[in-house]
Amino acid sequence: MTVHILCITSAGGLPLFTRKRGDGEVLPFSIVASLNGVHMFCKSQNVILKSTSTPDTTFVWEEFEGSIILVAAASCSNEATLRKLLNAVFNAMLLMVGVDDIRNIRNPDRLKRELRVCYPLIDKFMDGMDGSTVSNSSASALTTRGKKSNINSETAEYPCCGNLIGMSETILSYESNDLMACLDAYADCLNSQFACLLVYGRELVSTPAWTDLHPLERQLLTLLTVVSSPSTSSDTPIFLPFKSPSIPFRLIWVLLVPGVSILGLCGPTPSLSEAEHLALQCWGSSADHLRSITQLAPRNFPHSIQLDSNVLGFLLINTDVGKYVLSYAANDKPVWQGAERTDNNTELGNPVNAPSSRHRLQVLQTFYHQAVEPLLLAADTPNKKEKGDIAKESSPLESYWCSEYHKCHGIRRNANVLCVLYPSSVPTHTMRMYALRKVKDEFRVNKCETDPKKIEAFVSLGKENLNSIRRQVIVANLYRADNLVIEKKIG
Amino acid sequence: MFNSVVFRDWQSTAEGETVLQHFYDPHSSGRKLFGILERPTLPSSIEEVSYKLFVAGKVGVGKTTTIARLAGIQCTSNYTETPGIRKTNVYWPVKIWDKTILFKLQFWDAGENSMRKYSHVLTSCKEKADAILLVFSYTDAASFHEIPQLMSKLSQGHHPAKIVIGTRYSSTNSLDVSNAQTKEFELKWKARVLRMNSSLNERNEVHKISPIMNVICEQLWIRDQDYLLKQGLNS
Repeated sequence: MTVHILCITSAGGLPLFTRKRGDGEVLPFSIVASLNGVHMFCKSQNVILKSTSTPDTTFVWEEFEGSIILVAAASCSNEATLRKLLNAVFNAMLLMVGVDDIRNIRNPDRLKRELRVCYPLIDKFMDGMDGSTVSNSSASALTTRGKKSNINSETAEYPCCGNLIGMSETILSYESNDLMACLDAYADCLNSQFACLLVYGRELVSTPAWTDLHPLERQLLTLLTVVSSPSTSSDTPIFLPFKSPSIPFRLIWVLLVPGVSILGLCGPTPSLSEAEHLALQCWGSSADHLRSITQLAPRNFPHSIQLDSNVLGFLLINTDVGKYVLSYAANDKPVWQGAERTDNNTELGNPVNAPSSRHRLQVLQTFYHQAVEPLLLAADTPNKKEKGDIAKESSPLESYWCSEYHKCHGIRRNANVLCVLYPSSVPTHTMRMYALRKVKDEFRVNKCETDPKKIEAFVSLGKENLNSIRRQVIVANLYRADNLVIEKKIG
Repeated sequence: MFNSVVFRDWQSTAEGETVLQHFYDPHSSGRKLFGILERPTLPSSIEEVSYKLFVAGKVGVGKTTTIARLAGIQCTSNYTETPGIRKTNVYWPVKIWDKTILFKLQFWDAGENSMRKYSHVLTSCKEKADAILLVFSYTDAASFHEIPQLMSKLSQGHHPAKIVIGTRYSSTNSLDVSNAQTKEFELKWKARVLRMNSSLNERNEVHKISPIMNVICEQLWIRDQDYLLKQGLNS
């Protein structure tokens, strides 16, 4: 699959940048010109061209701020997903450049130069469009199954999925409350309300103001730290696309121990060296604690919670708060034995043919994009919302996917969506029961959740599941089959 | 002119190798990037000295990549401009006379565009820098010719040490900056010109980088000694 993004000025039709992911050819200039030309022609006739598709490619146009046109072209993707991608790309541009320079383009060449810093973010979003386009390094990890490549690609970075557009990835831990105190102290020192602790690019704890940021803003800020070259600390001028599109903030990022870092948004003071010094004061005593937390990755939920060995991975999304937890190593041993992961799988009784963790991540991502996003989240799209509750009730709640190697099951309860990945040996009808049991586990995971809204959501989720289990028992009783010969009691 | 204070090949000796063991990352082939809450586990008798270095040079010459190589960490191969300021701490053990000293080098790097757009970026990079690391590319003559100007602009005031690094050096391909030119530069400006080739061979990366790291540490050490000497004469 190939994804192209073109950015063109509305006024002059000057190309600002083009990005490409996947192994297709670069779009020739003539095609870029005609893509812009057809949009411009429609505009002159008072028609807005939104999208078109050929048998193998979908094209989507979108104009932003009356000054920039973004065009996406992708094979095997739907229009809604591409529109979401364009929106995310534009917000990435706002984040780095600010709305003023984009709204009034005085010097296109200068804007072109300024936009260069957005490329890593844009590429990251494009990588996440489909599981099959995860960057080259991961693709090679799939083909070369040698132990060495596994070590390099998996334990070195713990691929941060981070690309369910418009949501931020989290990691669950029982110890969040202790760390919250340190984070609050640090935010106070920075004289800022916005601070967040990241574990391998996933939010662990954040201040209330940070949680109130738009989910896409949170995602952009955390992604920015993931895509930039490794360093000890950084000070990046950024704009908040929704909260502060024309006044820049300074995003201060400090690496505490490898894998754990803190983010803070502040004004002109304190300087980077001062911020680093403050971080040392606030976190100095918790180095060991932070190091132990890194062992949660890539499982992303506490090791004390055991899941059925048939659960290969799961993705839990809350659309209200715009956060998700993704675990593609649900049954793996802790990280310090990470290099030996494949052996552990068999020891734990996992099916021998279970897909590699990288593959699991891709399958879950693809399942999300192709089944969950269009079906389960359909009720959230604005045109359906207008019709009110009827549309919501009639929208699908569950989705099944069965293939030769694995099976996926997605289930939606209000704002929560849970997708679970199983090996193909699991009978399809039992997936539902697993998922419900799993939701109960999830409920326990969220015991430490302090956000009352979220707690409420999970309580109702649990109740609903109870109801559906009851219903299932009733239905099962209605159609109860006679016991088989071997089940009958003797005598 | 360039007398050797630092034991040059110490990192390859048995003693040096043992100390360097604490700097590697067990998960990758490179060295470890330490967070601010930790440092290499070395005996507390080893003294730690900390310096701030500002890395300057024309846009696209490879400042960020140079730092990544000095730090011994993997860097993404495709070029992206650095947004804002990046600071990278690199720990490096050095043998000076009979003493092992742990240098903590804080490399400050900033993107050209953010430097132009936001005034605080250059100010905080320049502020109290102990050394300026001027980077040019052997394949771009213009980046070399602007070094003297950059050097005089940045070294006003507190006399930081000056070290010049040429990236993309190759002994086989033809270069836009000749060895004669760099020799002339060294004599005229009394600053070392170090070479960094563009090979991405990660094997023995430490030993390829160690001559450069040793020179950087030595320059900083000499600057301190000179300073102390002057203080001594004045008092």
